Amino acid sequence: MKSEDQTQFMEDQLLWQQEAAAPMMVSKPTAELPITEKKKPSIKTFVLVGAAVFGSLIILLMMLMGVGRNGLQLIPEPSPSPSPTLINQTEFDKAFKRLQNDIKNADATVNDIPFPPVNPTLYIVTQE
Amino acid sequence: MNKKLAYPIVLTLAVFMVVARVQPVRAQEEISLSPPQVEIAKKTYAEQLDVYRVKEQRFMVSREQYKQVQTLASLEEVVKASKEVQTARIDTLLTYFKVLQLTMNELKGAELTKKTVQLERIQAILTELDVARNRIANSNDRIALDNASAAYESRNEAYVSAAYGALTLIRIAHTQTATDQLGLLSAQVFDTITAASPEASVLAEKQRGYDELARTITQIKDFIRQAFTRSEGFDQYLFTAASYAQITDILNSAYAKLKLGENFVKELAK
Repeated sequence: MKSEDQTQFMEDQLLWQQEAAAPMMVSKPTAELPITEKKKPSIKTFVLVGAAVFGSLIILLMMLMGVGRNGLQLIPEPSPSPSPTLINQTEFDKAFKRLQNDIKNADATVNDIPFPPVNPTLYIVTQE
Repeated sequence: MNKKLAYPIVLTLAVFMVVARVQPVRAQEEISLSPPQVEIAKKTYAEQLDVYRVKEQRFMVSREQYKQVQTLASLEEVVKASKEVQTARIDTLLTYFKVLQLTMNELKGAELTKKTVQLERIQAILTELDVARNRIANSNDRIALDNASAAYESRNEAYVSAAYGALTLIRIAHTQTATDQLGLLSAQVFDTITAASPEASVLAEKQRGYDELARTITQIKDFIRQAFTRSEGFDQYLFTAASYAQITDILNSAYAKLKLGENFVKELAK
């Protein structure tokens, strides 16, 4: 068994055979650089990532629930409430044109789709 | 590290929020695909009515000929003519009710319950007419075709009733829409005048004009109410062209007032 501090014979021989060498030149800036320890992610980062993931999941969940409930149906949007607002000339002209069109449609004397004038009694031999 | 991580996170969140906001397809009033469809259906209806008239004329001639000569050849002719005219009649009605259905679908200003009832009636009739068309297609002799004709005659009143019931609702709804637009525009015009702080005499004059307009709108609403009450008084399954005429008489008065209101609002805006 070999203990941790035990030196083998061959290793000793090799060690003593090597010529003594001058110490290697190490560039000063590198040598003087402080050894920085790898930083652990801060609590702030954890909070940020956590919040982002959580937020994304919530939004995704809401979207999925929305699609599940409504499918791809049209969601009716309420008509704008008739609350009066101020209008300029252009808006008035546009709204007035719409009014004229609506009034034209309201003309009850015009019926472009009356019931078709078809003959309800098309018998080959007159029915008695 | 923080910045590198923060940008994608913020971007992802932003994308999610945009997607979540855009995802629902909203039915806005402006988005309407129906008008061209209605126009196409109306054109088809007019063409089919023309075809029906030609076929009807041919059937009448064939029938007269069969009555006079009483031959098997003339009977063959009239059977063929009967099948053609009855098919043309059903096709005309199918397109007619589709026109009504499309018109009703995009109708604004109508009470939703009433609209639903009318649409259900129209749908039931469309289904019934499809069945009748198949029956005619499978009828190849005088007896079968006359039976198909008798079946149609027994239902004709129901078809007329559904059509005029729907037309009445369309008329009332159109009057209601125009009245709403008149009320909205007149209020907007008067608010704009008031906000401009005109001289007291001008404001008083505009106020009188606006009051008169408001009275006109009240009268129109009263006519609409009368028309609605009258339509409710009719048996919905025995609605006829005459019933429809009674409603339109009332709505004509509303229309006259609408025209008056149109002039008033134009004058008020000057």
